[in-house]
Amino acid sequence: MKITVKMVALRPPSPPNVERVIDLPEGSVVANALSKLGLAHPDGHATLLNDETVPAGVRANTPLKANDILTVFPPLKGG
Amino acid sequence: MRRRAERKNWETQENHGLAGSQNYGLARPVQGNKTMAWHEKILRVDLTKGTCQAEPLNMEWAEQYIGSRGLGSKYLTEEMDPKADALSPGNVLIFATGPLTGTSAATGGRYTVVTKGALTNVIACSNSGGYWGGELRLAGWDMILITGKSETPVYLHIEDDKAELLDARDFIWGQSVWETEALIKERHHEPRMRVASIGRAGETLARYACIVNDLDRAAGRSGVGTVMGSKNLKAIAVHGTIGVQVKDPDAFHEAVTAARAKLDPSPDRAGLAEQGTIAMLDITQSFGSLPTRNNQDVQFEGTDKIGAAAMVAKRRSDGQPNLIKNKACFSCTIGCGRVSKMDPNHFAVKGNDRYKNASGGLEYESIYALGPMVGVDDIDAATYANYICNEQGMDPISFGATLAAAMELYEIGAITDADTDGLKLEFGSAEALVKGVELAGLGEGFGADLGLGSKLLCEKYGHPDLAMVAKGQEFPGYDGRSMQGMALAYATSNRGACHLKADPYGDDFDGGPIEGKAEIVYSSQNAVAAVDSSGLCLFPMAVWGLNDVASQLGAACGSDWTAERLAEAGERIWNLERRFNLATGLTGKDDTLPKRILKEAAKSGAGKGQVAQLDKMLPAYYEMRGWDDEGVPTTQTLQRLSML
Repeated sequence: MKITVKMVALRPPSPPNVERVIDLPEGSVVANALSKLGLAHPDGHATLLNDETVPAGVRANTPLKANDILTVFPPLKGG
Repeated sequence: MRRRAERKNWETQENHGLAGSQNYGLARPVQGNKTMAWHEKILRVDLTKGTCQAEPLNMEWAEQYIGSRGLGSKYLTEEMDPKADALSPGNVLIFATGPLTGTSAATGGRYTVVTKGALTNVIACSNSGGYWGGELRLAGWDMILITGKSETPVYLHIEDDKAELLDARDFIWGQSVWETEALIKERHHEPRMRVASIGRAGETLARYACIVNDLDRAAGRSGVGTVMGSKNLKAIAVHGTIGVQVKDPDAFHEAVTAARAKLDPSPDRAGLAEQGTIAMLDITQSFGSLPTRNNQDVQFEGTDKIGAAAMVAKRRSDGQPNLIKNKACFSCTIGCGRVSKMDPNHFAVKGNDRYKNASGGLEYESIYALGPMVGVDDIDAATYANYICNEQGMDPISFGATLAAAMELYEIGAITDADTDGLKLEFGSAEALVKGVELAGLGEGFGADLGLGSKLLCEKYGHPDLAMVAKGQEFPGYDGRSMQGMALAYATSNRGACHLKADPYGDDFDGGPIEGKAEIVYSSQNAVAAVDSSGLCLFPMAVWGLNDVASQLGAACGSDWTAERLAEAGERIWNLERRFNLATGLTGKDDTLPKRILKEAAKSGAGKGQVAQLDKMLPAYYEMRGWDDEGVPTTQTLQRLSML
C-alpha cells in the first residue's frame, strides 16, 4: 500500500509541499509510517492524517489505507 | 496523547539631571547587598520636572515578583491610577530588567517595558532582546521608572551612574529609529552605546508604535512606543562599564553550564538558528491555523513564496538569497534572528539605497502579518514592510492585521478610494502593502487611519466585528478555531491577544481535548510569567524546565528559588496584572474573541467546520485560576498568593 508523506518544517529547509510516497504493508498504522521515516524522535512530532490530527497516543491504533496523506511536523512554538 | 503534554511540563524540566544640555552626575550606586545579581537601584525620571534620581529597588517585591515583567508590573500598580488615560502624563512607563539580565545565563539579555498600553488601555508588558537590556544592567541600573510628560522632546542619556535628560529638538525628534541611533552615537562619540527609541510612528501616536533597540529588536506590542511618544521622550541611550555580580559565582557558572549543556546541542536550538521562527509558516499552513485575509481563511496559497525555503532560495535577479545570516541577542546561544537583503531591483527599493543594505529580516509573526494576513505572497514587499516597521517603530503584527482589516473594509465598500486618496486596498496587493506601511510609518494621509489599529479603525468605518483583536490587540499568527488552546490564551491574555503569554502549541498541534485546555493555558501562563520576569528569553524553554531557570536564578540571587516557587510567583504576577486590568474597568466580558472566530467555522485544515469553543473552556479556566464567575480573583486566591 502506498501513502503520501509531507514532511513540514524539518531541517534543512525544504519547500513545504514536497511530498514523498512510501510503501507499507497492508494493515499498517500511523506509527509504522513514522518508524519508516527514520525520525530520531518520531513521538516528538505532530501528525495529520488527511488533514485531521492524530494524537501521539493513538498512532499505534490508527490504521492507514492506500492513498492516505500523512503530514509530519515538529511542534514548534511561536516567536 | 498525554505524553506530549507531559513533555511540555514546565516544572520538570540623588542627584538629578534637568531637561536641556546640563549634565548632573548621579550619586554612586545605592549600596545594599551587592553580592547578588541585583544592583538594587532604580532610576526614577520625572519628565514633568526634568529630574533623574536614584532610589533603592524594593527587594521585598523582588522576592515576590522576581523582576522584569513581574516587578515592573508591581511598580506600575503602586505608582499609577489604573484609570488614567494611557496617553496622559499620569501613565507610568517602566523599563525593567530581570535578575538574570546582563549575566552569562544563556539568553540573559531581556528587558520588559511595562505601562498602560495605548493600543489596549490595559496593562502592557512588552519584552525585547538585543543588547539594550544587558547594557542597562552593565551601567548599574535594574529599572528605569518614568513619570509625567516633558514639555519639549528630550532623550535620556545614561553613562554608568550618570543620567541626564537632553534636548531632542533639532536633533533626533522627527528622525527614524535608525537615524536616531546613528546620531546619538555620533554626538556622544560612543559607538558602543545602546539605544532604545521610537520612530515617527511613536511621535505621531500610532496606537501600535513600538520601542526599538539595536535597530531591529523591539518591545513591540500594545503601543508602548505610543506612550513613550506621548511623553515627548524620544530615546534612552545607555553605556555601561560597571558590570553585574552574582551571589555565588561558582554555583552560577555550574548552573549556567548545566543549562547550556541541555540547550546547545538540542535540535530545537539548531532549528531556530537554522530556520528561525519563520519555519512555523509551513506548519500553520499545513495545519490550517494560518490567519489569511483577515482571518477569512486559515490557509494561504502563497506560502511557498514567502516561507523558510523561499528565504534561502537564490533570486533570479541577482543570484542572492533573502537571508544573509542569523544573529543572536546578548548572551544568547540560539541565534534565531534573521539578517536579510532585499532584491535590489524590487519596486519598493528602487531609488532608495538604504533599503538595499542588510537589515533585520522576517520572522514568523512578521511574515504572517505582512504576507497571508494581507494576502501578499511577495517576500521582498514583506521584507520591505518589516524594514519600515523597524525604521519607524511599528509593531508589524498590529500593522499587518490593521491593514488586513482595512482591506476587508475596502472589499465590502466601507472604505472607498476617497478615504484612501486612491490607494487600492486590495487583498494580495504588494503595492498596497508597501504604500500602506510608508503612510502608517509617517502618520500621513490614510496612514493616520491605519495607525488607529484594527479596533478603532473598524469602529470608525462601522464594522467593529471585522477587527481581529482580543482586548483591542491584534491577533498573532494563529487561528483559534483550529488551535483551541490558543483561542483561550488570546481571550485571557492580560495584555490582549498574544502568542507568547501561554504555551498551548504542542497540545493544540497534537489535537488535545477541549477539556484539557484550561489547565494547559493556566499552568503555562504562570510559567511564562516567571520566565519573562527572570530576564531570560522563552525560547530555551523548548528544552528547559522551570527547575533550570530556578537553579540559575538561585545561584545569581542567593534566594531559594525552586520550580514550584517560580510557578507560584508566575501565578501571583498573572493575578497582579488581572487586578490592574479590573481596576481600569475591564470585566470578564472582555475575555472574548471576535464574532468571526466564535461563530464562523474554519473553511479548511485540521479545524475545518470548527469555531473557537470559548464557552466550554473559559469557565474551567476561571475555576482553575480561583476566580469567580465574573473573572475576579477570589479573596481565598489572593490570600493563597499573599496578595492581601
